[in-house]
Amino acid sequence: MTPTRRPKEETARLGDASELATLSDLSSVDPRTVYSVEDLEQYGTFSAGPSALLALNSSGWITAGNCTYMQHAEDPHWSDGETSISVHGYWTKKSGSSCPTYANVDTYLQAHWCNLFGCSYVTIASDSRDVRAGGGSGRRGNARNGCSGTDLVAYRGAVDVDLIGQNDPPGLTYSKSLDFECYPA
Amino acid sequence: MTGSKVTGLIASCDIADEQPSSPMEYRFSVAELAQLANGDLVLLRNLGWTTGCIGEYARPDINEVLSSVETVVLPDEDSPGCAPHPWEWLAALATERGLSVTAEQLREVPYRIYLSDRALEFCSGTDVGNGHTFGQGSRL
Repeated sequence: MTPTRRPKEETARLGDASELATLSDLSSVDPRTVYSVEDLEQYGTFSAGPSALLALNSSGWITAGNCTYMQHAEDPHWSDGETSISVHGYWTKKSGSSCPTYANVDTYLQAHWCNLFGCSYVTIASDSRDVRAGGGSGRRGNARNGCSGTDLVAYRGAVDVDLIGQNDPPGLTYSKSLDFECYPA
Repeated sequence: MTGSKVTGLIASCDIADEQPSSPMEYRFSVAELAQLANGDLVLLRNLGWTTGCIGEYARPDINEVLSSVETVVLPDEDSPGCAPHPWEWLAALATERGLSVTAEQLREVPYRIYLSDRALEFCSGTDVGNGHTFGQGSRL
């Protein structure tokens, strides 16, 4: 089996930003839904934000057969050349643990967005691919988005690892949120 | 600072000050630094990662942390066999900070990974006092 990169649409729905415009509880926004930056700008603005605005992460004690693994979300960072913001996701398995060779790694780039009711992180780019464990070259997912201006905006990454051929629990791991002089393009 | 010779590159890893709210997660920061001939360190870029444990909570061992450090400093568009570091970009960042160095020169200097005391203490099965510097090259 060789690593593959799946089209975004297979794993991440494209959302209608007008739904968000009237949503008072932004914490209910599904991070797996990718919204168009152009649409989001019609109903709100991107902004810098407090790093711990919404704590959505909760993994708890979960088992996935005989596989014990970890999922990793890199901090958002400038992509080479500082023209876009990028996040990576990857997975590692504990030595001696029985895990499949490949896992599907969904990686999400979220930007801090505010509407009339408040602010939240919304996903503006995603990536889904099957990779071996361990991180390193060719073993990471990558979601990125370009910049159209230099206004300060907060970004964070989110990662969900799905073991291939084996049931595993859902659960996203979020990176730290960081501000960049990069208004989403 | 022009004229200060870059004698090495360092990826300095520490426990991030801002930790996740979930007890099943932990967070590290990585500062990529240029080391100068006079011993000064110049920050080139800040990186880091968050790890979520699935199945059972386990602290990482040193090798797992080192592997993650190696992963986060990779070029953005990495692929199997790619360069271990974005040399051109690192040279550009160094130049922006007043250093005079080329990508070719950076390829030749030692690249070391440094783990802070806090990072070492956090790792499982670790009983080491001082911050440690690990070898050069791709790792160790």
